Amino acid sequence: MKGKRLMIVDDSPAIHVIIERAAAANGYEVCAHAKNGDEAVKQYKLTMPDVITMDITMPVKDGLAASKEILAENPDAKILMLSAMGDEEIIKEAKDIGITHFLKKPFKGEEIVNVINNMISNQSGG
Amino acid sequence: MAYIEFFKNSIQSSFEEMFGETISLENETRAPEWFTSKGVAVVIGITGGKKGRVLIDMCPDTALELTRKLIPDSDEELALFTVAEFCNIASGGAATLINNEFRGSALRVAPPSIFAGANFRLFSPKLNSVLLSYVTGFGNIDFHIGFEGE
Repeated sequence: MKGKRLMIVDDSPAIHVIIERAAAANGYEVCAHAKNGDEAVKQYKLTMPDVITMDITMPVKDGLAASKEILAENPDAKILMLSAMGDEEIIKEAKDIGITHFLKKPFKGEEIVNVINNMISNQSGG
Repeated sequence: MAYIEFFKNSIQSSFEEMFGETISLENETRAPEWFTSKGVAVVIGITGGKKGRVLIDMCPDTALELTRKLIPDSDEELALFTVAEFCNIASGGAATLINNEFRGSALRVAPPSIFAGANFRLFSPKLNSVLLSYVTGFGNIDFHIGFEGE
């Protein structure tokens, strides 16, 4: 996926390293990093990435609140929600605000790249 | 404690999925109110229908070995965040199992607080915690898990 740009949002630097290395090995450019939802909203407006990986549990502003703001700005934003929490209530909450892709932690680097590839392919396919 | 089996299941599966190694529960006892950390501790609050707290404790070498399993060139600072992420994943997994089993629990995990240093002591008032002592190929790992009213 050469030329596609990714923003990583997570309060854990370890997750940033794991995702960035897997993404870079598959041709993605990581154009922005954010460690909370507030930074994510600001970085999104500045960098307009093709895909966002978004943690839910973060300080300052959580991933659901940040996603809601980003989707209000751009309803076509592609957000992959990542979380250790995977109960029906949280997934419903994520779907209700327009998030269509969800991956439960822990994940392997190749798993997340596969999901991102699918999100990009669906976008390209219209 | 009613929830402890969910935590045991989540700790085991999270560890094995994340690090690709086995983890064995060596001992389960009532946790002391005061305890001296092995050197790296992470505390995660549980909110929602019931309030609680999960604390993970291990020595710095164990934290670094675990992290290097995922990121071979990682340093001590990244190790602290990896321990926090493991605690978050194990706690979130347990909360998910509990929420799916007991409708209306609505448990949520809060962002982690990380503590590191030599011989620092932690005190847990008001919570009767269970101490789960695990053995792994990277070293020993303790979990202190407590909920209000248990």
